[in-house]
Amino acid sequence: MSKQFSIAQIFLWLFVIALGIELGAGLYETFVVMPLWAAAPPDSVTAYYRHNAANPQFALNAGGRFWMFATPLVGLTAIAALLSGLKTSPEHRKWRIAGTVLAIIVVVSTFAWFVPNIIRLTSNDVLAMSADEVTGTTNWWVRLNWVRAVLYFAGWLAALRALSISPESEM
Amino acid sequence: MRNKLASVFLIASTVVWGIWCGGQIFNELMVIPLWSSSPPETIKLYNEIPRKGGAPFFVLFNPLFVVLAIASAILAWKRARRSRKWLALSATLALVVFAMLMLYLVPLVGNTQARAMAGDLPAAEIIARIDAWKFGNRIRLFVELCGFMFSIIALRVWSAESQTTGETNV
Repeated sequence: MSKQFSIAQIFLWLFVIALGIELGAGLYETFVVMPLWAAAPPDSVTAYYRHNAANPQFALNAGGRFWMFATPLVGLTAIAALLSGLKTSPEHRKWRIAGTVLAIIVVVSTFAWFVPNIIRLTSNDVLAMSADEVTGTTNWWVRLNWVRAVLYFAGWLAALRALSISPESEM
Repeated sequence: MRNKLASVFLIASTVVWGIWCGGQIFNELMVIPLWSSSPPETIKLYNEIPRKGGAPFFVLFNPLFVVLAIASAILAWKRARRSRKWLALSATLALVVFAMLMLYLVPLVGNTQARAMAGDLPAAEIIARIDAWKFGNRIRLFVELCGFMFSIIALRVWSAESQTTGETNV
């Protein structure tokens, strides 16, 4: 039993650390990097693409070099924390489930909607899009990115709450 | 009341430690290599990228994580037993990081970038300064990750102590 709980606790720790770093990196990108291309669409979006195409050494390409590792790690640790904690005490488990399910929803939505659209906006696909389409997609991306940050934040608070309650307290 | 406040501050401190560390890891892996790969040319080119908007991540979160780490340690100290060392470590490392930034890293990188843009410092000197800054920044990142871990441990141990004595937390 204790081994099971220790595995459950280790996965919860890993999930808390991975989600904290993911959220912090996402906020940094939102605060510092995103305004470079999203400040005044459609011109800022196409200008950002042209600048990156002309100066590839200054293209951030965070999706291919950072997020493609960080986001799946959050998803995997969330699934592991969820599955390993199904037999913990109810008071602990409800927070663990809330945190991990929120994170899994965000990870799935990231790959289903955010990734395809950011690839369109930062690749040469953007040159084939109409100005209205670029503006609309950019504005939606920015708005929903904040929704995603709020959900991640709520998930992280729930996971920290779970971490502060013993998984064996009512067993 | 004090214990509930301490719990809120401990969670807030851990949250801001995590946000700060995540931002610094992203900065270290993604942004710093862009301008520091071949100074002074890359510094000049990077500073010529058109910028509009943006929010001050460093200005907002740097004081916040120090204040929260110290405040949570003060609020939780009286009740704390085993968690005291973790509270103290988290607060101390927050202060160490803040001092490293304000007294060494920020002035060094600010001055070096300004001199690189002005072109009044030999390239070899700029390269040496940037290398020193990158080394110091990696040490800072390691210290920050330790601080983040200690804040999680402090939250966990302090909460367990509260439950053991039958007092409620948040």
